[in-house]
Amino acid sequence: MSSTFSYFSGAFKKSWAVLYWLPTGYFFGTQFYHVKAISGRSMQPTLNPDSSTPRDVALFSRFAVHTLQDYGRDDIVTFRSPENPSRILIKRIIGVEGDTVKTLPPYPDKEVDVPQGHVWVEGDEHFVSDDSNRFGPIPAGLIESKLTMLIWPLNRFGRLKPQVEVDTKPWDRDTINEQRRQETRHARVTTKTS
Amino acid sequence: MLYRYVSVHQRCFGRFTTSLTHLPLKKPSRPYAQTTSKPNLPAWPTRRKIGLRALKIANFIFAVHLFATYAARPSYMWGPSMLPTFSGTDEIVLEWMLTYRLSLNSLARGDIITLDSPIAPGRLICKRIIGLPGDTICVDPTGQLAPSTEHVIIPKGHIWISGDNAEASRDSRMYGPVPVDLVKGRIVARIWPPRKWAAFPSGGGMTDLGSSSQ
Repeated sequence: MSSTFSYFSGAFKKSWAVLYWLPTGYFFGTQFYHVKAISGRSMQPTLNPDSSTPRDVALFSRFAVHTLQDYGRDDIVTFRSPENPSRILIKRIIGVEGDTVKTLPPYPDKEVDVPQGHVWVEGDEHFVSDDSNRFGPIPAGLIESKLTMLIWPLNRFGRLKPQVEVDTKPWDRDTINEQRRQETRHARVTTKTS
Repeated sequence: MLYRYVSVHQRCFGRFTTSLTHLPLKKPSRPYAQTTSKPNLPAWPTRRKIGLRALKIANFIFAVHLFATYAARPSYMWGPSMLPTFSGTDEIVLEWMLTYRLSLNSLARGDIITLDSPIAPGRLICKRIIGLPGDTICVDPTGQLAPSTEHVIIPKGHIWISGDNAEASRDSRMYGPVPVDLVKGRIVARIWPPRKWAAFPSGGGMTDLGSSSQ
């Protein structure tokens, strides 16, 4: 025992080195980017499109949210559930402050004005999603990070599909579906400028 | 006569502090005794050692930053919204975060907390907790922002916050209950100016009517 953990033995030196450099590792691992597996069906078909395969793993940027304040409509973000702080949810931002959003069934009002400093978030699959239609607009301060790229599965590795241009006529079925979903999403939001 | 490289810092603070801040310099290639004609100058620290020193300084800065984010830190307090408790001018308070980061159940009515502003993301505000989930709250007893008969029940995972100075405070009376995850920490003491030193115990400044009536 004493030979394994004595000051001069290799084990002690190694664990001390790990402990010593822990602040740097923790800082870069939490404050800049972090990797997480996504569970649940609420973002189908964008994330976890097939429930039978292993879960998607994605890279999330905290830096973009907290330092650059770079988040807006159509971005996929993670945040703590306003109802249960121990749960982290992943949803898409539908409307930002000043927008008027047409809500979906569980919400009592037909339309809602997103208040100052708040965002309206929704899952892509409305039927299995606990989102703003349940708990209303959330303060933007709750947002923890923003999805940057997919890491797993490898056939969808990389950035999520860029936003489809409205004027172009795509021919591929996935892109057509993505464009339709985007159009329905945008049709429900009246922005402040328009 | 021997010439040695001695930094200004070493000159001023002597050997002990220098050994803490400076890594030992590279040893001279030959012992002093062997030098005959030219003075023996120890080499400057190598690039590798300078790089390691920079990394260690960065590591220290990260450690301080993480401590200030997750454990405790002094904060500068400004603004009129907590006026009888805090003067609204230059005051420094001690913010304790560790237990609030770990479990939010330690919140109590009457605690002075810091939280991310629900209406201005990224801005830290300081308010007092008035109600916890399940409480029935009168929205505004003064009747300025809402009729004084209006009451709400605070939903699960939310708290009701209010500034001590109702005249100059934008709080739950304006934007309703706030999610508890916005809470960053609790203010435990005022440390500056020294003559106004004060500790703020958890639940202080609030009488729990429920328990006192039993």
